[in-house]
Amino acid sequence: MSAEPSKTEILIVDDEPLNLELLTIGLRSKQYVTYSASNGITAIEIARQRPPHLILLDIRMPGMDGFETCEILKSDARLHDIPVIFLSAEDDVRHKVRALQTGGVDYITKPFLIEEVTARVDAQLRISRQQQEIQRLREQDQAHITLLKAEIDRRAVAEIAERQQRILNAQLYEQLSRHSSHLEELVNQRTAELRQAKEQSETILDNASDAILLTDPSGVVQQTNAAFCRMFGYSPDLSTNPLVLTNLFEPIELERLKQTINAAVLTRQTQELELSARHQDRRQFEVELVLAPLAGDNGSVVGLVGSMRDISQQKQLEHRLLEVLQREQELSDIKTRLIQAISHEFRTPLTIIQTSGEMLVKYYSQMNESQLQEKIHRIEGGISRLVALLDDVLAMTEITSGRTYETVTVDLVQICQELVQEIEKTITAAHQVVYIYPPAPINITLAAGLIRQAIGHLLKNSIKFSPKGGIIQLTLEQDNSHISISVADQGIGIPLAEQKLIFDAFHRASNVGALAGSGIGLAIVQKTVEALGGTLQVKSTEKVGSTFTITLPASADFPAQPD
Amino acid sequence: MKTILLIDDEAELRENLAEILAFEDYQVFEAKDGFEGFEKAQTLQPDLILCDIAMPGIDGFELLKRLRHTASTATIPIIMVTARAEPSAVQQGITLGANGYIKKPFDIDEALLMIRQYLYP
Repeated sequence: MSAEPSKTEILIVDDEPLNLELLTIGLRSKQYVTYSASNGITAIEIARQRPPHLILLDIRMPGMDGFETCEILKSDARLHDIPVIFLSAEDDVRHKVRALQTGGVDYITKPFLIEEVTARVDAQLRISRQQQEIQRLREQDQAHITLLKAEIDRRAVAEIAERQQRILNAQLYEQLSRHSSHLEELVNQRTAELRQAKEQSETILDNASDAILLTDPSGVVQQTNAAFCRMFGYSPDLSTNPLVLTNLFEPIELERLKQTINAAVLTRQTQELELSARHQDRRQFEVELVLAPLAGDNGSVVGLVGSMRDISQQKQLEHRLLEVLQREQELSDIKTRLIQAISHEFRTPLTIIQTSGEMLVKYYSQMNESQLQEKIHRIEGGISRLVALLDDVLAMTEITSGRTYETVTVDLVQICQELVQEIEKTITAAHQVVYIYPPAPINITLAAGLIRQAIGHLLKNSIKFSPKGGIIQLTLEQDNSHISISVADQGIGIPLAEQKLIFDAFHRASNVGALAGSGIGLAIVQKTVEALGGTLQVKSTEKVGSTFTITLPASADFPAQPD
Repeated sequence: MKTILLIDDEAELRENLAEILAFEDYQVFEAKDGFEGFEKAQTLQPDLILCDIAMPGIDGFELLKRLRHTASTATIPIIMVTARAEPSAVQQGITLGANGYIKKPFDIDEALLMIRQYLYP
């Protein structure tokens, strides 16, 4: 705020134009800038518009006097510090005191010397400048002090903050370490639990009777249990030899298994199927596989748990049960057919007997002697047929009943010899029986009654179906493994198309004509031979003859059990 | 004189029936199987056919079908005479166009009664 003298402005207030001029000239000569006012009000206005560095103020002025003007100036904050030097004609002490009391800094008595005025003005300006400088310095100090105080405060706050931070850090550290040890404890505890759970799972897995394995979604095996090793015969080293689920089964199962794996992954549903698995020793066995998808955190399938049970025995039992049921069904069917056929076969001779009998009564007087005889013969013939039929049915029932027969060791050569002798008693000269047999006895342990019955039946059949006579040849042979007994005739033969049907009960070939029979005989022979563990075959040419051959296993001891 | 064709493979039974019908003043033709029966039915045009079912070659049902599908024999009354007594066989015969059904064994008078029904007047 230091003012250069050239720029130092002074407001001169006096109602005397002469005084104003005198002062203006005097002060300007001292390089001051001056401006003037002739009354108090104008002076205040000018001072407000353009505050001067110093005011020279006349006391006695018309209107507002110098004291009043000074009081107004001093009351204005902007003008308060401007030094005011009073000018007055009064050399009265009271005036001087009042002038100083209203805020004036000096008092110059008129008439004055201009040199005195300028000297006092200089002095007052100097004082004013010094005061301003002091003020500036004081303000500067104050600012400095404020800054310092602020800095001190900042540092104090910072220190407090730092201290608190340290305390906080210490607390945090303590809390953290407490948490950390707690966490560590938890982790240890959890790890122990997990280890225990894992051991439990493995114990369960290894003691499970089902083979259990874990695969990835594509079916690559990742873990197996002890039962797996027992079931498949080896413990796979999965780290060196990757194992794919599909390799555990027969190649034929590949497609079905792939579909099931896909289904488990896609539908996320447990799948079940029965498969043929392959043991390490190449043995095939049946398993039931349950394939359950393992879902990961995001819901996708991360693997499959396969559990397998060996159902070979179950399958075998099922198979045997099915066989037994089938056999039961067959027997039931045979019985049904037998009953139907028996019913039918009984009706024909019964009808002959009934009509013949009724004719004897109804048309007795109209029939001649030979007609009457014929009816009586027909009644007798019908009864014989019924009796033979009953015998056959009983034999058939017995042979299909599944009962076992007592076995004895017999000589087949001897048995055939006896059968030939029996049949020779019943035949006429038209037939001739030729018996060809090996030199040594053929001893065999079997149900002797059955083989006697079967060969006897074939011999009787061959006579019956050779109505014009001819040679019946019975041939007995033995090689290392088999005994064969064949009966060949020169009879009517069997049409080729019907040769398959002749062993069915009650089937009679279309060319039997008037030859009586039940159609049950060959069925009985076949069932009998089956009961003996052998087979019955036929070779035949229509109108040339038929050869029936019974083949028995040569091993002497075999049970005479049907099937 | 009414004519009857008798078709049965069982010779004794066929002969008995033929004798009975002759005593009752019918003219009887005999056939021992389905083939012969089919031929004679067409050529002799009988007033009635008595036909067995279980016969070798063409059985009674097959013969019945052929007779019904042949214009000259389609309307001749046919009575099945058979040992096939089960209801399903009876039903099959009726379905194929048989007029009557006589079960073996039968009473002569009953059989004659049924035969007369189909020959009247």
